[in-house]
Amino acid sequence: MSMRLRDLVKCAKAAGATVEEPTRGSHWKVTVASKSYTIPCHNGIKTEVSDIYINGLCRCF
Amino acid sequence: MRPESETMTRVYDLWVVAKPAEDVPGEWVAHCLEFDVVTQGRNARHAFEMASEAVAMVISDDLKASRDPSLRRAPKSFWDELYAMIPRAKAIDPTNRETVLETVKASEVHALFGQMQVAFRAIPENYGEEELNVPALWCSGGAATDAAAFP
Repeated sequence: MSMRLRDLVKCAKAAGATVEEPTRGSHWKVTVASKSYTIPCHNGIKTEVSDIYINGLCRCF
Repeated sequence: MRPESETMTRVYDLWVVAKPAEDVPGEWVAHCLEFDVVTQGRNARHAFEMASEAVAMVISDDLKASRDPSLRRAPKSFWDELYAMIPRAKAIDPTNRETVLETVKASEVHALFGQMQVAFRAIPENYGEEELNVPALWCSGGAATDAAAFP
């Protein structure tokens, strides 16, 4: 099930992750224990991310 | 212009599989299998570009943290899916590659996959720069595989 970027960011922060907005490019960055993963944000905070992406994020951490 | 000694360029050859996102109409999801990085874009070409950017970010962060980025490799099931697609896939004519990437519709293919080259240039105090190149591209499934549907 897809999810809006803003909701994903809330979940990540609630789980103790550090979330950084992009300084360049179209990806946010979520970091846990110095390991990072990217979040696509090409449509801004309203970007809707696919469940395939969310599965990938969960595999990383 | 930086002196050559301050930069180090490494070219990664990466398998990237791009598929239409079933749960987000109009979006394409790209998965780089070597680093298990998933991202998405507005069309197939944008998805490949986003994969290039995302890969550069994770490589840079891993190197800064003294972590081997190859440890991120995608699970075997994703590689098995790729290996199953390869024999049945149709190579995209290199002269049409750009057109296909920008115009292919979600209904036309099951997946596009390619060996993407990311030239990663590490720069001190920055996470690096990347250049996208897709030297080979195939499509799998859908009507376009069997017909000369691609321009």
